[in-house]
Amino acid sequence: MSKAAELAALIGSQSALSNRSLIINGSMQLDQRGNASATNLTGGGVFTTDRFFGQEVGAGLTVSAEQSTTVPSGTNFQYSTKHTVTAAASGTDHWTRLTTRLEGYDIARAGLNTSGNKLTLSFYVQSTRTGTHTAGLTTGYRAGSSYAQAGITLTYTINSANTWERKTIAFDSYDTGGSAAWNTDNNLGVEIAFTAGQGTTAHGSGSINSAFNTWEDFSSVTFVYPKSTSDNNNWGTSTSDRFYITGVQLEVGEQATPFEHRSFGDELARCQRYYFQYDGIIYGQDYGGVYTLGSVCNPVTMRAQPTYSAGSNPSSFTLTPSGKSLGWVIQTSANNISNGVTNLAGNAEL
Amino acid sequence: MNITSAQYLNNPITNEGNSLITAIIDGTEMFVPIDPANRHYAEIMRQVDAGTLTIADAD
Repeated sequence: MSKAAELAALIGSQSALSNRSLIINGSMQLDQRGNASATNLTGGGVFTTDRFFGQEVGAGLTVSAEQSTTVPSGTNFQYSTKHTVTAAASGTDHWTRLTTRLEGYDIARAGLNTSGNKLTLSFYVQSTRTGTHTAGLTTGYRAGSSYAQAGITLTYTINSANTWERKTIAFDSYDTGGSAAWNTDNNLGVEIAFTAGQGTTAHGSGSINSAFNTWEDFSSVTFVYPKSTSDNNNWGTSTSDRFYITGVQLEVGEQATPFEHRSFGDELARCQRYYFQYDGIIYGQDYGGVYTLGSVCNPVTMRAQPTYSAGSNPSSFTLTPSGKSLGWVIQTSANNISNGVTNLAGNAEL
Repeated sequence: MNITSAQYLNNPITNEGNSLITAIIDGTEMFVPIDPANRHYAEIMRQVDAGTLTIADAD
């Protein structure tokens, strides 16, 4: 086939030649939170590299996560996300996973609620444990207290320990029957999670079936998702265990294309829709001796009104979002410029 | 998400009531907007509904 024919075939099989990946920061190059050193994970989740958060639960288990310069050779990646077991699990109820969440606006074009569409997930992974491993997708929550969702646990095989391997998983869309399970607005569209390790008793009590690679409905999140295989059971039981991942890409269609590297500025702006952190100081101006007011211009319009926090003096101020683009730093006593807010952060993560 | 305290705040300028929540989340003081799409607000309200968290009135 000529090069022109190859290009035509590629165009015909994919929705776009650029902006193919639905994943933000799949190359793990952004780490705005500055967790250059390892940070211990929790069950509630700790963001490591931008847009990705890690979770770990289990008796005795401690797992740290960090941006790493260990990357697959010959790929031009600069960073990966690394998970390290620093204290081994003492039981079988442990689990560790890495998750990213996509906004409904961004996954709407995938046609996930229409039967017959395909999506393809690809990534580079390295683990100390070989065998059949799992990743999972779940839909966004429906409103209300019953978290009606659908999910699919995908399997892939790690052939060699401590060796980078690229994995590709294609899967079908899922027609939820016109229900609201697929959000197509600024709420959670889809969650993608990679299992690093999961003990034999970590599944919980949810009413799910045992099938892999097929969509299933569930009405409550009382279990760990994605499910695991027996090959996942032992990761976390040794302080030698490591799990690296980079080059995460989700594409519309059934063909995995080479990883789409974006410019640093482009990727940063995409990340800042969900989280930003200023590296300077915000001062205020005295208004009539009644209050001090400083303005916050979010770098981009955020997904939702952000939660604000600050690196210094947070208790002296009220950090007030005013929509998705602006906010205010307010101090109720006149203290003109003598007292600034450092490292203000805005968080509108899903 | 470990939320150890939450309190409504009035807007210091307009004096609008309950316009914001200040909370200690994972050990950090945060200012949470009244926005159901905000993950911190959603989690605060989920814990309030579950009876495990109470939002104190504004001073």
